[in-house]
Amino acid sequence: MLALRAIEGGIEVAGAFVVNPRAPVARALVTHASRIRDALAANELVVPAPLAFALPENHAARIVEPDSKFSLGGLEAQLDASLQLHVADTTLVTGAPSAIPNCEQLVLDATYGLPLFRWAAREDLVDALRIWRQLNVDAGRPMLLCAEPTDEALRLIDLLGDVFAHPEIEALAIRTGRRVERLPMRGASRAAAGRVILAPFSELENPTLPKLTGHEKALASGRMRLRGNRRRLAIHRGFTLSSRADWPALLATIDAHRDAKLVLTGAHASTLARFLAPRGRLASVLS
Amino acid sequence: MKRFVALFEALDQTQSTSGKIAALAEYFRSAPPDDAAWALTFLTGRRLKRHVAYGLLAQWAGELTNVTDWLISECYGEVGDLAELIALLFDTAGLTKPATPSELSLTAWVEQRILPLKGLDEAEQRARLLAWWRELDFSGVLVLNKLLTGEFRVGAAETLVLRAIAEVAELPPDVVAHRMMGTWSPTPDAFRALVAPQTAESSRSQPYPFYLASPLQDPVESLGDPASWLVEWKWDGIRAQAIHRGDEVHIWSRGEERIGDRFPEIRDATRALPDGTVLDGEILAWRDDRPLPFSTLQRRIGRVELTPEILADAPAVLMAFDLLEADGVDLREKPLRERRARLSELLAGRGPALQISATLSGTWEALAAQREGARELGVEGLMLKSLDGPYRAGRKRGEWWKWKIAPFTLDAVLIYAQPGSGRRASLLTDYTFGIWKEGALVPIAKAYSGLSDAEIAELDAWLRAHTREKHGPVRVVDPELVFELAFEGIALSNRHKSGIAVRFPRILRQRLDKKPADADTLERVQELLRYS
Repeated sequence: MLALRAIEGGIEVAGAFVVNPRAPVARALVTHASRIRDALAANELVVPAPLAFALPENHAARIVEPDSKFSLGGLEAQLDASLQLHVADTTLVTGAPSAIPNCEQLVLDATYGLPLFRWAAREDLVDALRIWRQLNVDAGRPMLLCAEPTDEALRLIDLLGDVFAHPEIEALAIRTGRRVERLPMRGASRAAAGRVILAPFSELENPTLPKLTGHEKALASGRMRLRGNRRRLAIHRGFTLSSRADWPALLATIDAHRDAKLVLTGAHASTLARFLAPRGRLASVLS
Repeated sequence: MKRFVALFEALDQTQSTSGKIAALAEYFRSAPPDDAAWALTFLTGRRLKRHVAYGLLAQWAGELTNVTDWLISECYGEVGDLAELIALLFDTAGLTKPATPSELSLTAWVEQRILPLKGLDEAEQRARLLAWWRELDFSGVLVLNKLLTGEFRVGAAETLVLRAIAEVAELPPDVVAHRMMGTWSPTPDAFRALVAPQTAESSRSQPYPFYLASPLQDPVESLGDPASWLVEWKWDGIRAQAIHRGDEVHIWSRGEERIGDRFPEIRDATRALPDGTVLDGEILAWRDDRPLPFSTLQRRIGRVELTPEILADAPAVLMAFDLLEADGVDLREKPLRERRARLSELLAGRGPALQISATLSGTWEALAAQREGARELGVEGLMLKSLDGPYRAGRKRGEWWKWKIAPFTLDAVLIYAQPGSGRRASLLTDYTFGIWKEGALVPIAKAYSGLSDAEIAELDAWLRAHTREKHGPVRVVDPELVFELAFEGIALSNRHKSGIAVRFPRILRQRLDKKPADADTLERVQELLRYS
């Protein structure tokens, strides 16, 4: 059964997330709770017809047919013929593998499914952000920090505390009970001197915020692990941060769910499947 | 080494020019001269000779981290830099937290460890590398690997490095640039001489920093009266300085290589010039009063031994166009008008190996008409130089312009793609294009430049969705997209399937109005050979 409960400003998915309604136990695991939460809160939930009954009253949802692909909060999703919902992301999987409930089918996002990707320890990230922030505070420079408007942006708000936020991130912050400030339209650079402005990636190419001058540009993403990506985007700093699973977390999760049918998605799904095959784990790739 | 690694990190983490110069200046102020000399060597693009093969480094890193060859190859496609790839593999495997970090200096790392790798057998090299890697943290492994592979791109151009040195030494940047020209020896004495007050004498072999022209983008009329400009052909050869000082004769290429032994006739003619002479010009393969194709000149560079046949087939001249030093006096601050007059005087009646570049005159309209005939003469267009201007260092806009003829173009089909390297790693940015030969597409050129970042991203997505086969990093893609390519020259080649090689190919635009069948044929491209 899909369990939903209301929270302030939105709706949160709790429990076993998505379950085949014909067999209401954990048949499939949707591995990105934050995305589901965002989708729900933004009235963008896509629901297979048999699950529609589980929606809260007056909640808008699109009903999709079995065996179809669709977008879920900007995320690729697929409803297969047996009404199992596959969604590509892994917030939960980045936690301790034991925290993931047993399931028959484990869907993992292999966007970072290469042995290059290992996320820094929280304290190292905190240190890197603190040093970067202090340098810019000393120089009186505004700091534009771009991040995906998901758990990743929320984690940055939690780590940084006092920030200005782009309206898209501000909405997310409000829904999750966090406090941010909005950048003033006039004198933005002056107001933001020595302060962080959190914005989605699109702000780098198509700025919508009040005009900033002399600001430091930074980006937080798993992609920042590679120097080439930092150099290509011509940003000043890159912070490696992702709510998707890194290589050690993917392997540990797979190892902890030996009995589950493994489904991989994301950029390096085929590579990870090839890596696993000689180790006795067969995975199907959801493309 | 720690200080050098910290400099690498500082340079890597800032895009600001002033921030980079500040980090560099701080390093050169605080580093001992022997370390500073080596650091300067690497930062200015000079490399150590590689004593360990790329493949072996990758193999040993794979063994240490339990990552198989094919997976390393997949990872390389994402990173595009072997040095960084190895550091990332180690970091993911938890191998970058050394129990006893290395305290060796940069000089000790280079002179006591890396250079002695030469001549060791593979097993010994492997044992040493594996031990060294374990002494370093992530950035340390990355920097060590970069020293070993020679891929030391750190986002600080040589001009920035020299500006930082100039700041530390309190010297004009041009003086530092001049002192760095020619053979640089990474010794403490060389570094001390580089930053010494301006009285130190320069070496007799040292060339001057080359003055480089910029492409003319505005209408030529914007330059004002043509009589204020020296106009000459833009030769397509090897830019070089010929130096005769004391009993020494040196021919330097713009890439700061000594090339005198490749061109003995020019070297001998330079020896006959008065002591204290430096000429700037273009080396050309030359016969019957016109240049031979660049590919002919390349034969003089590529061969290990210069046989009498090659010397006869590719006779070379220095087409001199500037006089930088006469009677041991630096003339670079003199106006071109004066330098050129002295050059004409100097070269009058000299042998055929030293020629003076002819000048053209007339209205801009008349000059434009002459420029149109450039290809027939085997040249690339015209050079426009202010007669009142000095000889500057580097690419300074305003007084030297290259006014090139339109390049050759052809329409070709994109047939293969592979990831780029460095900042283009993980995106498909290296493209191979084909033209039609007897009903099949044969490769004619590889091109890497000409598209914007947005176009590259869009093309990357299309190529991934239209991949037919993968051979390692190379994707064979659906031959559906037609692009207009520009190139500067064309020559017969045994090394290319099409039998043709093109020079400096780049993408002009995608031809959305053309279908693959409309792309050019080999026959049409072969017709262009008559212009080369």
